[in-house]
Amino acid sequence: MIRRRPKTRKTKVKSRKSIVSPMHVVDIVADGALAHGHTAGGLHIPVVFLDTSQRSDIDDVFLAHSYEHLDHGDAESIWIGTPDSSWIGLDVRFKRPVEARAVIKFRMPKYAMLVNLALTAKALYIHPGKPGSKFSDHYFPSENAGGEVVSNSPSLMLQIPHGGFELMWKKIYRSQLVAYFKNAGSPSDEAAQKADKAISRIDDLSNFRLQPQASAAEGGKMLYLNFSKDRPDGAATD
Amino acid sequence: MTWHTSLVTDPTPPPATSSFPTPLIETTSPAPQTPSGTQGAELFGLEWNGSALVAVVALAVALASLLYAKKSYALAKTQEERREARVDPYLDKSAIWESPDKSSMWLGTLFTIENQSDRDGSISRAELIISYQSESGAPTTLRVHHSPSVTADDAKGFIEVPERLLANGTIKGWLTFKIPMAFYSGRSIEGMHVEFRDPRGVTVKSGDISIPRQEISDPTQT
Repeated sequence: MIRRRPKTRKTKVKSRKSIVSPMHVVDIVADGALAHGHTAGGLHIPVVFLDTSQRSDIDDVFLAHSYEHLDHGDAESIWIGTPDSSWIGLDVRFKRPVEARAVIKFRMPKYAMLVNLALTAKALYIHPGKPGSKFSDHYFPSENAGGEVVSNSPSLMLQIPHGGFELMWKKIYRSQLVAYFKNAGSPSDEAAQKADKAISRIDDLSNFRLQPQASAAEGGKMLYLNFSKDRPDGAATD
Repeated sequence: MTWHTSLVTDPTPPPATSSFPTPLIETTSPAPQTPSGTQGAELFGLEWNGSALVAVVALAVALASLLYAKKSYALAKTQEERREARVDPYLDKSAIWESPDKSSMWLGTLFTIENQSDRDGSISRAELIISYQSESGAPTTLRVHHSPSVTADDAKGFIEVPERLLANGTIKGWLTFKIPMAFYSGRSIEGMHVEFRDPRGVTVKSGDISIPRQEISDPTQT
């Protein structure tokens, strides 16, 4: 009997063309990340404030969720991208309680780290905002000594299951970083080295887990990151 | 009819010294004749025999089978249609009243729901769909699920979702929906209806519900 070796095939990612209306595209006006021992296995979950100044339907999504009996909603999401990868979009179709569509625009490489964190944690916090909103305007360290962070802004946590995009993301991410370092004046070899180094550092941060506390009193310990605007390879920690 | 037999002989006898064999005598065989006993009767200008009669009988049986099969198919089709999932809601009454904390409006709808199917079904979801214009004028939809307007202990006469619907059965009861005041009075409502879902993939919409006159108190328990 002849036994054939099992073929090690690479998983193929099917991509399809889709057209996104500009009216559905929503910009990010502020961002950060939160880690909690009891959420997403302690991984950092990116936080984005969306520019909803022209999108009252998205405001209604947050408003409806503020009512206790409508707090459990449904949403479908899919990652999309432009051919030149100048930005990556998360196409979110809210089904319940309010039907709406928002394509969250992650400019590359500025918000590449947010995409990386969202893919690792499979989750994303979204808030309504307007141009000029700041992460630190809405998130505060709480009064108690438990290390908690409180927010005065309505938020939703989107669950983002993997759909194949994560397989092509690393390649996109690296090429974006290399292009960024080249534009900054580094030669090709040096840009590639810097990109690999940045990816390594960001992976370390993305895979960092905050351990859950044993007692309920200590369970609220959180870590939050307020990203500086000048990156992609760095994150400023508050 | 007579048999014709003719013998043909070669007029020239072979020479005595010929080395060839003597030729055989050629004969002509008689044409086959139909026996007089098997000839069929004439009817409608055609000659009928046993085979033709068998063919006609077979045709008649085939036509009868075709008609029978057609009737059976129609019956099976009707029966299968009756087995398909059906949810037929009829709105008997609707009412609207304010919640005690004034933060929401309750919309109560008294529905009679029929299952005209020969199979059991169920209502897995009942949602109030409110079509409205957002502040920017974009058409938007709010979905509110059914929740009893009174506490579970006092709840009587409500349809509990999910609710089983027996074959050819009917249920009647209230479905109540809590609409946040910000959406009820703060938005331009264009239409409302209730959407029912059967787990077999059937989604049925009720007719449009016009906003009824406001009641002073909860009418579901009266």
